[in-house]
Amino acid sequence: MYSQKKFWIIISMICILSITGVIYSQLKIDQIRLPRKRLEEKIIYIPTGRFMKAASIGFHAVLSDLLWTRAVLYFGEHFTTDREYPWLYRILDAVTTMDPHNILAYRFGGNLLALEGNRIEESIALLKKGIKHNPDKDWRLYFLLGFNYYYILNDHLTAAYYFEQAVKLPGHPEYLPKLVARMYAKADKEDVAIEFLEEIYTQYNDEQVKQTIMDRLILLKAKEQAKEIQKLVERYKQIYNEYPENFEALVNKGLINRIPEYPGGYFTLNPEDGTVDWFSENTPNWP
Amino acid sequence: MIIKTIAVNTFKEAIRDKVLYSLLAFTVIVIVLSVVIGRLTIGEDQRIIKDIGLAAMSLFGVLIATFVGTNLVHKEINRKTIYTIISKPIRRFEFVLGKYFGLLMTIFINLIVMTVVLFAVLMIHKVLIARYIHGFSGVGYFPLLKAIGLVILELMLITSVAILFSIISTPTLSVFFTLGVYAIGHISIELKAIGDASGSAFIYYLCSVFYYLLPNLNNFNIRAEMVRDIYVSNSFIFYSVVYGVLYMSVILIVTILSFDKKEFV
Repeated sequence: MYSQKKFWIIISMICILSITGVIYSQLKIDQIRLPRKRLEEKIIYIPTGRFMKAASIGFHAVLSDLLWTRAVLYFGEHFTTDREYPWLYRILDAVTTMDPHNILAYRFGGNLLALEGNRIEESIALLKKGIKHNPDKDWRLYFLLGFNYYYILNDHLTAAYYFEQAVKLPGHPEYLPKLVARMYAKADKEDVAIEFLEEIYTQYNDEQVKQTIMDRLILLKAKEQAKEIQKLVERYKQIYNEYPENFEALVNKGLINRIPEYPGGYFTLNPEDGTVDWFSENTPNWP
Repeated sequence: MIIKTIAVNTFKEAIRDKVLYSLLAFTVIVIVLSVVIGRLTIGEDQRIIKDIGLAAMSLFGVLIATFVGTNLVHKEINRKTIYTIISKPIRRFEFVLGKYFGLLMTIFINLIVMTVVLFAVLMIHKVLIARYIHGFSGVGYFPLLKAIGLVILELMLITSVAILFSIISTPTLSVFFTLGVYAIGHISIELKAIGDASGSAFIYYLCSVFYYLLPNLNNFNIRAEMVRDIYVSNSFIFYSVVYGVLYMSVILIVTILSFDKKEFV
Protein backbone atom coordinates (compact mmCIF):
# COMPACT_ATOMS: atom_id res chain seq x y z
CA MET A 1 0.00 0.00 0.00
CA TYR A 2 2.79 2.35 1.04
CA SER A 3 4.84 1.62 -2.08
CA GLN A 4 1.82 2.20 -4.34
CA LYS A 5 1.24 5.60 -2.73
CA LYS A 6 4.92 6.40 -3.19
CA PHE A 7 4.69 5.30 -6.83
CA TRP A 8 1.80 7.66 -7.55
CA ILE A 9 3.54 10.56 -5.81
CA ILE A 10 6.65 10.01 -7.93
CA ILE A 11 4.64 9.67 -11.16
CA SER A 12 2.63 12.81 -10.35
CA MET A 13 5.81 14.74 -9.58
CA ILE A 14 7.40 13.64 -12.87
CA CYS A 15 4.27 14.64 -14.80
CA ILE A 16 4.00 18.04 -13.10
CA LEU A 17 7.69 18.76 -13.66
CA SER A 18 7.46 17.65 -17.31
CA ILE A 19 4.38 19.79 -17.99
CA THR A 20 6.09 22.76 -16.30
CA GLY A 21 9.11 22.11 -18.52
CA VAL A 22 6.87 21.93 -21.61
CA ILE A 23 5.24 25.29 -20.80
CA TYR A 24 8.61 26.89 -19.96
CA SER A 25 10.13 25.64 -23.26
CA GLN A 26 7.12 26.95 -25.18
CA LEU A 27 7.48 30.36 -23.55
CA LYS A 28 11.18 30.45 -24.47
CA ILE A 29 10.38 29.29 -28.03
CA ASP A 30 7.77 32.04 -28.37
CA GLN A 31 10.32 34.63 -27.25
CA ILE A 32 12.76 33.43 -29.90
CA ARG A 33 10.03 32.98 -32.50
CA LEU A 34 9.06 36.69 -32.50
CA PRO A 35 12.01 37.80 -34.64
CA ARG A 36 11.70 34.51 -36.50
CA LYS A 37 8.10 35.28 -37.39
CA ARG A 38 9.15 38.42 -39.21
CA LEU A 39 11.47 36.27 -41.28
CA GLU A 40 8.70 33.80 -41.92
CA GLU A 41 6.52 36.50 -43.38
CA LYS A 42 9.22 37.45 -45.82
CA ILE A 43 9.78 33.91 -46.97
CA ILE A 44 6.34 32.38 -46.73
CA TYR A 45 5.15 31.57 -50.18
CA ILE A 46 1.46 32.26 -50.43
CA PRO A 47 0.34 30.33 -53.48
CA THR A 48 -1.99 32.07 -55.88
CA GLY A 49 -5.70 31.77 -55.19
CA ARG A 50 -6.15 29.71 -58.37
CA PHE A 51 -3.64 27.13 -57.19
CA MET A 52 -5.12 27.04 -53.70
CA LYS A 53 -8.62 26.65 -55.11
CA ALA A 54 -7.51 23.65 -57.15
CA ALA A 55 -5.55 22.17 -54.26
CA SER A 56 -8.39 22.57 -51.77
CA ILE A 57 -10.31 19.68 -53.42
CA GLY A 58 -13.68 21.35 -53.05
CA PHE A 59 -13.07 22.92 -49.64
CA HIS A 60 -12.09 26.31 -51.09
CA ALA A 61 -14.83 28.15 -49.21
CA VAL A 62 -13.55 26.88 -45.85
CA LEU A 63 -9.95 27.55 -46.87
CA SER A 64 -10.97 31.05 -47.95
CA ASP A 65 -12.60 31.65 -44.55
CA LEU A 66 -9.49 30.48 -42.72
CA LEU A 67 -7.26 32.67 -44.85
CA TRP A 68 -9.65 35.60 -44.39
CA THR A 69 -9.25 35.23 -40.61
CA ARG A 70 -5.49 35.17 -41.18
CA ALA A 71 -5.73 38.41 -43.20
CA VAL A 72 -7.57 40.20 -40.38
CA LEU A 73 -5.05 38.94 -37.81
CA TYR A 74 -2.20 39.97 -40.12
CA PHE A 75 -3.61 43.48 -40.33
CA GLY A 76 -4.11 43.71 -36.55
CA GLU A 77 -0.61 42.43 -35.86
CA HIS A 78 1.04 44.99 -38.15
CA PHE A 79 -1.30 47.80 -37.16
CA THR A 80 0.06 47.56 -33.62
CA THR A 81 3.70 47.22 -34.72
CA ASP A 82 5.32 48.46 -37.94
CA ARG A 83 2.19 49.57 -39.87
CA GLU A 84 3.60 47.96 -43.03
CA TYR A 85 1.42 45.51 -44.97
CA PRO A 86 3.47 43.94 -47.77
CA TRP A 87 1.45 40.68 -47.83
CA LEU A 88 -2.07 41.99 -47.27
CA TYR A 89 -2.98 42.24 -50.94
CA ARG A 90 -1.58 38.81 -51.74
CA ILE A 91 -3.57 37.19 -48.92
CA LEU A 92 -6.79 39.02 -49.82
CA ASP A 93 -6.32 38.21 -53.50
CA ALA A 94 -6.12 34.51 -52.60
CA VAL A 95 -9.15 34.84 -50.28
CA THR A 96 -11.28 36.46 -52.98
CA THR A 97 -10.16 34.08 -55.72
CA MET A 98 -11.34 31.15 -53.63
CA ASP A 99 -14.49 33.00 -52.62
CA PRO A 100 -15.18 35.79 -55.15
CA HIS A 101 -18.30 36.89 -53.24
CA ASN A 102 -16.62 37.84 -49.98
CA ILE A 103 -17.62 41.50 -50.30
CA LEU A 104 -16.21 42.42 -46.92
CA ALA A 105 -12.75 41.23 -47.97
CA TYR A 106 -12.83 43.59 -50.98
CA ARG A 107 -14.04 46.49 -48.85
CA PHE A 108 -11.57 45.77 -46.05
CA GLY A 109 -8.63 45.54 -48.44
CA GLY A 110 -9.82 48.36 -50.69
CA ASN A 111 -10.02 50.68 -47.72
CA LEU A 112 -6.97 49.73 -45.73
CA LEU A 113 -4.54 49.22 -48.58
CA ALA A 114 -5.26 52.80 -49.70
CA LEU A 115 -5.72 54.56 -46.37
CA GLU A 116 -3.34 52.67 -44.11
CA GLY A 117 -0.91 50.89 -46.39
CA ASN A 118 -0.36 53.58 -49.03
CA ARG A 119 -0.79 50.81 -51.62
CA ILE A 120 -3.18 52.49 -53.96
CA GLU A 121 -2.64 50.23 -57.00
CA GLU A 122 -3.34 47.14 -54.93
CA SER A 123 -6.42 48.75 -53.40
CA ILE A 124 -7.76 49.62 -56.86
CA ALA A 125 -6.97 46.14 -58.23
CA LEU A 126 -8.84 44.48 -55.38
CA LEU A 127 -11.89 46.76 -55.66
CA LYS A 128 -12.05 46.29 -59.44
CA LYS A 129 -11.89 42.53 -58.91
CA GLY A 130 -14.76 42.82 -56.43
CA ILE A 131 -16.83 44.85 -58.89
CA LYS A 132 -16.09 42.38 -61.69
CA HIS A 133 -17.41 39.46 -59.64
CA ASN A 134 -20.19 41.39 -57.88
CA PRO A 135 -21.25 44.18 -60.25
CA ASP A 136 -24.53 44.98 -58.50
CA LYS A 137 -24.06 43.67 -54.98
CA ASP A 138 -22.64 46.59 -53.01
CA TRP A 139 -22.51 50.32 -53.80
CA ARG A 140 -19.61 50.69 -51.37
CA LEU A 141 -17.18 48.99 -53.76
CA TYR A 142 -17.80 51.71 -56.38
CA PHE A 143 -17.80 54.34 -53.65
CA LEU A 144 -14.36 53.32 -52.32
CA LEU A 145 -12.95 53.05 -55.82
CA GLY A 146 -14.29 56.49 -56.64
CA PHE A 147 -12.74 57.88 -53.48
CA ASN A 148 -9.33 56.44 -54.42
CA TYR A 149 -9.50 58.08 -57.86
CA TYR A 150 -10.89 61.35 -56.53
CA TYR A 151 -8.75 62.09 -53.56
CA ILE A 152 -5.57 60.06 -53.95
CA LEU A 153 -5.09 59.91 -57.72
CA ASN A 154 -6.75 63.27 -58.49
CA ASP A 155 -8.57 61.65 -61.40
CA HIS A 156 -11.95 63.36 -61.07
CA LEU A 157 -13.37 62.00 -64.32
CA THR A 158 -12.85 58.34 -63.41
CA ALA A 159 -13.97 59.04 -59.84
CA ALA A 160 -17.20 60.58 -61.11
CA TYR A 161 -17.89 57.47 -63.21
CA TYR A 162 -17.58 55.19 -60.17
CA PHE A 163 -19.61 57.44 -57.87
CA GLU A 164 -22.39 57.48 -60.45
CA GLN A 165 -22.33 53.68 -60.52
CA ALA A 166 -22.58 53.69 -56.70
CA VAL A 167 -25.59 55.96 -56.84
CA LYS A 168 -27.37 53.53 -59.21
CA LEU A 169 -27.25 50.72 -56.65
CA PRO A 170 -29.76 50.30 -53.81
CA GLY A 171 -28.76 51.07 -50.23
CA HIS A 172 -26.59 54.12 -50.91
CA PRO A 173 -27.00 57.01 -48.44
CA GLU A 174 -29.41 59.72 -49.49
CA TYR A 175 -26.82 62.46 -49.53
CA LEU A 176 -24.50 60.59 -51.92
CA PRO A 177 -25.97 62.11 -55.12
CA LYS A 178 -25.56 65.58 -53.56
CA LEU A 179 -21.98 64.79 -52.67
CA VAL A 180 -21.28 63.70 -56.24
CA ALA A 181 -22.88 66.92 -57.48
CA ARG A 182 -20.64 68.93 -55.17
CA MET A 183 -17.68 67.05 -56.52
CA TYR A 184 -18.69 68.04 -60.04
CA ALA A 185 -19.05 71.62 -58.87
CA LYS A 186 -15.36 71.45 -57.95
CA ALA A 187 -15.98 72.12 -54.29
CA ASP A 188 -13.02 72.23 -51.96
CA LYS A 189 -11.26 68.88 -52.32
CA GLU A 190 -10.50 68.30 -48.62
CA ASP A 191 -13.97 69.36 -47.66
CA VAL A 192 -15.58 66.74 -49.95
CA ALA A 193 -13.05 64.09 -48.93
CA ILE A 194 -13.93 64.65 -45.25
CA GLU A 195 -17.55 63.88 -46.05
CA PHE A 196 -16.55 60.75 -47.96
CA LEU A 197 -14.38 59.52 -45.09
CA GLU A 198 -17.08 60.25 -42.53
CA GLU A 199 -19.34 57.96 -44.56
CA ILE A 200 -16.67 55.22 -44.72
CA TYR A 201 -16.16 55.59 -40.95
CA THR A 202 -19.78 54.65 -40.28
CA GLN A 203 -19.41 51.43 -42.29
CA TYR A 204 -17.10 49.69 -39.80
CA ASN A 205 -17.31 48.42 -36.23
CA ASP A 206 -13.71 47.28 -35.90
CA GLU A 207 -11.79 49.67 -33.65
CA GLN A 208 -8.49 49.42 -35.54
CA VAL A 209 -10.15 50.10 -38.91
CA LYS A 210 -12.08 53.00 -37.37
CA GLN A 211 -8.86 54.43 -35.95
CA THR A 212 -7.18 54.24 -39.36
CA ILE A 213 -10.02 56.22 -40.94
CA MET A 214 -10.12 58.63 -38.00
CA ASP A 215 -6.37 59.36 -38.42
CA ARG A 216 -7.04 60.35 -42.03
CA LEU A 217 -10.04 62.44 -41.04
CA ILE A 218 -7.94 64.31 -38.49
CA LEU A 219 -5.30 64.90 -41.15
CA LEU A 220 -7.82 66.23 -43.66
CA LYS A 221 -9.33 68.49 -41.03
CA ALA A 222 -5.81 69.71 -40.20
CA LYS A 223 -5.30 70.53 -43.89
CA GLU A 224 -8.53 72.49 -43.85
CA GLN A 225 -7.46 74.28 -40.67
CA ALA A 226 -4.05 75.05 -42.22
CA LYS A 227 -5.82 76.77 -45.13
CA GLU A 228 -7.79 78.93 -42.68
CA ILE A 229 -4.63 79.85 -40.76
CA GLN A 230 -2.90 80.67 -44.05
CA LYS A 231 -5.64 83.23 -44.79
CA LEU A 232 -5.05 84.84 -41.39
CA VAL A 233 -1.30 84.96 -42.01
CA GLU A 234 -1.98 86.78 -45.29
CA ARG A 235 -4.23 89.19 -43.43
CA TYR A 236 -1.47 89.81 -40.87
CA LYS A 237 0.87 90.62 -43.78
CA GLN A 238 -1.64 93.11 -45.19
CA ILE A 239 -1.98 94.88 -41.82
CA TYR A 240 1.63 94.82 -40.56
CA ASN A 241 3.47 94.57 -43.88
CA GLU A 242 5.44 91.53 -42.74
CA TYR A 243 4.82 87.87 -42.05
CA PRO A 244 4.38 86.84 -38.39
CA GLU A 245 7.43 85.33 -36.67
CA ASN A 246 5.33 82.52 -35.23
CA PHE A 247 1.80 81.60 -34.26
CA GLU A 248 2.14 83.54 -30.99
CA ALA A 249 2.28 86.76 -33.03
CA LEU A 250 -1.15 85.91 -34.47
CA VAL A 251 -2.47 85.27 -30.95
CA ASN A 252 -0.94 88.52 -29.60
CA LYS A 253 -2.56 90.56 -32.37
CA GLY A 254 -5.92 88.88 -31.66
CA LEU A 255 -6.23 87.18 -35.08
CA ILE A 256 -6.54 83.75 -33.43
CA ASN A 257 -7.44 82.78 -29.86
CA ARG A 258 -4.69 80.20 -29.26
CA ILE A 259 -1.77 78.48 -30.95
CA PRO A 260 -3.29 76.01 -33.44
CA GLU A 261 -2.85 72.31 -32.78
CA TYR A 262 -4.37 68.98 -33.72
CA PRO A 263 -4.03 65.42 -32.32
CA GLY A 264 -1.07 63.44 -33.60
CA GLY A 265 0.60 66.35 -35.39
CA TYR A 266 1.46 70.04 -35.44
CA PHE A 267 1.43 73.12 -37.66
CA THR A 268 4.53 75.01 -38.77
CA LEU A 269 4.90 78.61 -39.92
CA ASN A 270 7.72 79.84 -42.14
CA PRO A 271 8.33 83.52 -41.20
CA GLU A 272 10.24 84.08 -44.49
CA ASP A 273 7.34 83.49 -46.87
CA GLY A 274 4.47 82.98 -44.43
CA THR A 275 3.76 79.40 -45.51
CA VAL A 276 1.65 77.43 -43.06
CA ASP A 277 2.34 73.71 -43.16
CA TRP A 278 1.41 70.70 -41.08
CA PHE A 279 3.06 67.49 -39.98
CA SER A 280 1.29 64.31 -38.93
CA GLU A 281 2.94 61.59 -36.86
CA ASN A 282 0.26 58.96 -37.57
CA THR A 283 -0.05 59.54 -41.29
CA PRO A 284 3.22 61.13 -42.43
CA ASN A 285 3.03 60.14 -46.11
CA TRP A 286 -0.67 60.08 -46.88
CA PRO A 287 -1.99 60.44 -49.50
CA MET B 1 17.27 -5.85 -22.00
CA ILE B 2 13.62 -6.93 -22.18
CA ILE B 3 12.76 -3.55 -23.72
CA LYS B 4 15.45 -4.11 -26.35
CA THR B 5 14.12 -7.60 -27.19
CA ILE B 6 10.54 -6.32 -27.56
CA ALA B 7 11.80 -3.36 -29.61
CA VAL B 8 13.73 -5.61 -32.02
CA ASN B 9 10.74 -7.91 -32.39
CA THR B 10 8.43 -4.93 -32.97
CA PHE B 11 10.82 -3.62 -35.59
CA LYS B 12 10.94 -7.02 -37.36
CA GLU B 13 7.16 -7.18 -37.27
CA ALA B 14 6.68 -3.61 -38.48
CA ILE B 15 8.95 -4.00 -41.50
CA ARG B 16 6.75 -6.85 -42.69
CA ASP B 17 3.78 -4.46 -42.85
CA LYS B 18 2.78 -3.77 -46.46
CA VAL B 19 1.40 -0.32 -45.56
CA LEU B 20 4.92 0.70 -44.63
CA TYR B 21 6.30 -0.12 -48.07
CA SER B 22 3.39 1.55 -49.87
CA LEU B 23 3.98 4.76 -47.94
CA LEU B 24 7.73 4.58 -48.43
CA ALA B 25 7.23 4.02 -52.17
CA PHE B 26 4.88 7.01 -52.27
CA THR B 27 7.47 9.22 -50.56
CA VAL B 28 10.19 8.17 -53.00
CA ILE B 29 7.88 8.82 -55.97
CA VAL B 30 6.95 12.29 -54.63
CA ILE B 31 10.62 13.21 -54.04
CA VAL B 32 11.60 12.06 -57.54
CA LEU B 33 8.62 13.84 -59.11
CA SER B 34 9.56 17.07 -57.34
CA VAL B 35 12.28 17.41 -60.00
CA VAL B 36 9.54 17.73 -62.64
CA ILE B 37 7.67 20.34 -60.56
CA GLY B 38 10.96 22.17 -60.00
CA ARG B 39 11.48 22.40 -63.75
CA LEU B 40 8.21 24.36 -64.02
CA THR B 41 9.70 27.26 -62.07
CA ILE B 42 12.46 29.65 -63.05
CA GLY B 43 15.80 28.92 -61.39
CA GLU B 44 14.14 27.54 -58.23
CA ASP B 45 14.52 23.83 -58.98
CA GLN B 46 16.63 22.93 -55.97
CA ARG B 47 14.46 24.89 -53.55
CA ILE B 48 11.31 23.17 -54.83
CA ILE B 49 12.92 19.72 -54.59
CA LYS B 50 14.03 20.43 -51.00
CA ASP B 51 10.64 21.89 -50.03
CA ILE B 52 8.65 19.01 -51.46
CA GLY B 53 11.15 16.39 -50.29
CA LEU B 54 11.10 17.58 -46.66
CA ALA B 55 7.31 18.00 -46.68
CA ALA B 56 6.90 14.46 -48.05
CA MET B 57 9.22 13.08 -45.38
CA SER B 58 7.25 14.78 -42.63
CA LEU B 59 3.80 13.89 -43.98
CA PHE B 60 4.51 10.29 -44.95
CA GLY B 61 6.51 9.80 -41.74
CA VAL B 62 3.43 10.81 -39.78
CA LEU B 63 1.28 8.43 -41.85
CA ILE B 64 3.72 5.58 -41.20
CA ALA B 65 3.76 6.34 -37.45
CA THR B 66 -0.03 6.49 -37.44
CA PHE B 67 -0.94 3.46 -39.55
CA VAL B 68 1.78 1.16 -38.24
CA GLY B 69 1.73 2.48 -34.65
CA THR B 70 -2.02 2.26 -34.09
CA ASN B 71 -2.07 -1.40 -35.19
CA LEU B 72 0.81 -2.69 -33.12
CA VAL B 73 -0.90 -3.41 -29.79
CA HIS B 74 -4.20 -4.29 -31.42
CA LYS B 75 -2.53 -7.00 -33.48
CA GLU B 76 -1.15 -8.58 -30.30
CA ILE B 77 -4.65 -8.62 -28.82
CA ASN B 78 -6.23 -9.91 -32.03
CA ARG B 79 -3.77 -12.75 -32.42
CA LYS B 80 -3.97 -13.37 -28.67
CA THR B 81 -0.16 -13.19 -28.40
CA ILE B 82 -0.62 -10.52 -25.72
CA TYR B 83 -1.65 -13.28 -23.24
CA THR B 84 1.64 -15.06 -23.80
CA ILE B 85 3.55 -11.83 -23.28
CA ILE B 86 1.80 -10.60 -20.13
CA SER B 87 1.97 -14.05 -18.54
CA LYS B 88 5.76 -13.85 -18.75
CA PRO B 89 7.83 -11.88 -16.24
CA ILE B 90 7.61 -8.76 -18.37
CA ARG B 91 6.47 -5.60 -16.71
CA ARG B 92 3.90 -3.62 -18.64
CA PHE B 93 6.01 -0.49 -18.97
CA GLU B 94 8.71 -2.64 -20.57
CA PHE B 95 6.18 -3.81 -23.12
CA VAL B 96 5.00 -0.26 -23.93
CA LEU B 97 8.53 1.14 -24.16
CA GLY B 98 9.64 -1.86 -26.24
CA LYS B 99 6.81 -1.26 -28.69
CA TYR B 100 7.60 2.46 -28.77
CA PHE B 101 11.31 2.07 -29.45
CA GLY B 102 10.64 -0.69 -32.00
CA LEU B 103 8.35 1.62 -33.91
CA LEU B 104 10.86 4.45 -33.63
CA MET B 105 13.53 2.19 -35.15
CA THR B 106 11.20 1.47 -38.07
CA ILE B 107 10.50 5.17 -38.60
CA PHE B 108 14.17 6.04 -38.24
CA ILE B 109 15.21 3.49 -40.91
CA ASN B 110 12.49 4.84 -43.20
CA LEU B 111 13.70 8.39 -42.73
CA ILE B 112 17.26 7.31 -43.54
CA VAL B 113 15.99 5.80 -46.80
CA MET B 114 14.01 8.95 -47.59
CA THR B 115 17.01 11.18 -46.76
CA VAL B 116 19.28 9.12 -49.01
CA VAL B 117 16.74 9.36 -51.85
CA LEU B 118 16.35 13.12 -51.36
CA PHE B 119 20.10 13.74 -51.31
CA ALA B 120 20.58 11.43 -54.31
CA VAL B 121 17.92 13.33 -56.26
CA LEU B 122 19.55 16.65 -55.31
CA MET B 123 23.00 15.41 -56.35
CA ILE B 124 21.82 13.91 -59.62
CA HIS B 125 19.90 17.11 -60.33
CA LYS B 126 23.02 19.13 -59.55
CA VAL B 127 25.18 17.10 -61.92
CA LEU B 128 22.68 16.87 -64.78
CA ILE B 129 20.73 20.12 -64.62
CA ALA B 130 21.58 22.63 -61.89
CA ARG B 131 25.19 23.31 -62.88
CA TYR B 132 23.84 24.81 -66.11
CA ILE B 133 21.62 27.21 -64.18
CA HIS B 134 23.05 30.69 -63.78
CA GLY B 135 23.61 31.62 -60.15
CA PHE B 136 23.27 28.09 -58.78
CA SER B 137 24.83 28.12 -55.32
CA GLY B 138 25.18 24.50 -54.24
CA VAL B 139 23.06 21.97 -52.45
CA GLY B 140 23.53 22.77 -48.72
CA TYR B 141 23.09 19.39 -47.07
CA PHE B 142 23.82 20.34 -43.46
CA PRO B 143 20.83 22.70 -42.98
CA LEU B 144 18.63 19.96 -44.45
CA LEU B 145 19.92 17.53 -41.82
CA LYS B 146 18.95 20.02 -39.08
CA ALA B 147 15.42 20.20 -40.50
CA ILE B 148 15.26 16.39 -40.78
CA GLY B 149 16.44 16.12 -37.15
CA LEU B 150 13.42 18.08 -35.98
CA VAL B 151 11.15 16.07 -38.31
CA ILE B 152 12.38 12.98 -36.42
CA LEU B 153 11.49 14.63 -33.11
CA GLU B 154 8.03 15.49 -34.42
CA LEU B 155 7.57 11.87 -35.51
CA MET B 156 8.74 10.63 -32.08
CA LEU B 157 6.00 12.71 -30.48
CA ILE B 158 3.35 11.54 -32.95
CA THR B 159 4.47 7.92 -32.43
CA SER B 160 3.93 8.23 -28.69
CA VAL B 161 0.46 9.61 -29.38
CA ALA B 162 -0.29 6.75 -31.81
CA ILE B 163 0.71 4.14 -29.23
CA LEU B 164 -1.38 5.83 -26.53
CA PHE B 165 -4.47 5.74 -28.73
CA SER B 166 -3.76 2.18 -29.88
CA ILE B 167 -3.99 1.11 -26.21
CA ILE B 168 -7.10 3.03 -25.23
CA SER B 169 -9.05 2.78 -28.49
CA THR B 170 -9.76 0.74 -31.63
CA PRO B 171 -7.33 0.90 -34.58
CA THR B 172 -9.68 2.90 -36.82
CA LEU B 173 -10.46 5.49 -34.15
CA SER B 174 -6.78 5.61 -33.19
CA VAL B 175 -5.88 6.60 -36.76
CA PHE B 176 -8.43 9.43 -36.68
CA PHE B 177 -7.35 10.58 -33.23
CA THR B 178 -3.65 10.54 -34.08
CA LEU B 179 -4.13 12.42 -37.34
CA GLY B 180 -6.39 14.82 -35.41
CA VAL B 181 -3.60 15.50 -32.92
CA TYR B 182 -1.22 16.08 -35.86
CA ALA B 183 -3.64 18.61 -37.40
CA ILE B 184 -4.25 20.34 -34.06
CA GLY B 185 -0.50 20.41 -33.43
CA HIS B 186 -0.04 22.47 -36.57
CA ILE B 187 -2.88 24.93 -36.01
CA SER B 188 -2.53 25.38 -32.24
CA ILE B 189 -0.22 28.34 -32.93
CA GLU B 190 -3.26 30.20 -34.29
CA LEU B 191 -4.91 29.92 -30.87
CA LYS B 192 -2.43 32.38 -29.44
CA ALA B 193 -3.04 34.87 -32.23
CA ILE B 194 -6.81 34.51 -31.83
CA GLY B 195 -6.54 34.98 -28.05
CA ASP B 196 -4.35 38.07 -28.46
CA ALA B 197 -6.69 39.59 -31.04
CA SER B 198 -9.95 38.74 -29.26
CA GLY B 199 -9.88 41.66 -26.83
CA SER B 200 -11.68 39.48 -24.27
CA ALA B 201 -9.79 38.40 -21.14
CA PHE B 202 -11.79 35.16 -20.90
CA ILE B 203 -11.07 34.12 -24.50
CA TYR B 204 -7.44 35.15 -24.07
CA TYR B 205 -6.95 32.90 -21.01
CA LEU B 206 -8.95 30.06 -22.55
CA CYS B 207 -6.86 30.19 -25.74
CA SER B 208 -3.66 30.43 -23.68
CA VAL B 209 -4.54 27.31 -21.64
CA PHE B 210 -5.20 25.29 -24.81
CA TYR B 211 -2.16 26.78 -26.52
CA TYR B 212 0.22 25.62 -23.79
CA LEU B 213 -1.42 22.24 -23.22
CA LEU B 214 -1.96 21.10 -26.80
CA PRO B 215 1.14 19.93 -28.67
CA ASN B 216 2.69 22.66 -30.78
CA LEU B 217 4.23 20.83 -33.73
CA ASN B 218 5.30 24.10 -35.34
CA ASN B 219 8.16 24.06 -32.86
CA PHE B 220 9.67 21.28 -34.98
CA ASN B 221 9.12 22.94 -38.32
CA ILE B 222 12.21 24.79 -39.51
CA ARG B 223 12.02 23.34 -43.01
CA ALA B 224 11.29 26.62 -44.84
CA GLU B 225 14.14 28.42 -43.03
CA MET B 226 16.69 25.68 -43.63
CA VAL B 227 15.87 25.43 -47.33
CA ARG B 228 16.19 29.20 -47.73
CA ASP B 229 19.36 29.36 -45.66
CA ILE B 230 17.78 31.55 -42.98
CA TYR B 231 19.42 31.53 -39.58
CA VAL B 232 17.62 29.67 -36.80
CA SER B 233 19.28 30.03 -33.41
CA ASN B 234 20.65 27.03 -31.54
CA SER B 235 18.60 28.04 -28.51
CA PHE B 236 15.41 27.68 -30.59
CA ILE B 237 16.46 24.18 -31.58
CA PHE B 238 17.51 23.38 -27.99
CA TYR B 239 14.15 24.43 -26.50
CA SER B 240 12.29 22.60 -29.27
CA VAL B 241 14.17 19.42 -28.38
CA VAL B 242 13.48 19.93 -24.64
CA TYR B 243 9.82 20.59 -25.44
CA GLY B 244 9.54 17.47 -27.58
CA VAL B 245 11.30 15.15 -25.13
CA LEU B 246 9.26 16.35 -22.13
CA TYR B 247 5.96 16.26 -24.02
CA MET B 248 6.52 12.72 -25.25
CA SER B 249 7.63 11.67 -21.73
CA VAL B 250 4.28 12.78 -20.33
CA ILE B 251 2.42 10.94 -23.10
CA LEU B 252 4.45 7.79 -22.52
CA ILE B 253 3.74 7.92 -18.76
CA VAL B 254 0.01 8.24 -19.51
CA THR B 255 0.31 5.36 -22.01
CA ILE B 256 2.08 3.12 -19.48
CA LEU B 257 -0.50 3.91 -16.79
CA SER B 258 -3.36 3.22 -19.23
CA PHE B 259 -1.82 -0.07 -20.28
CA ASP B 260 -1.22 -0.94 -16.63
CA LYS B 261 -4.93 -0.53 -15.86
CA LYS B 262 -6.03 -2.46 -18.95
CA GLU B 263 -7.42 -5.93 -18.26
CA PHE B 264 -7.04 -8.74 -20.74
CA VAL B 265 -9.65 -11.46 -20.34
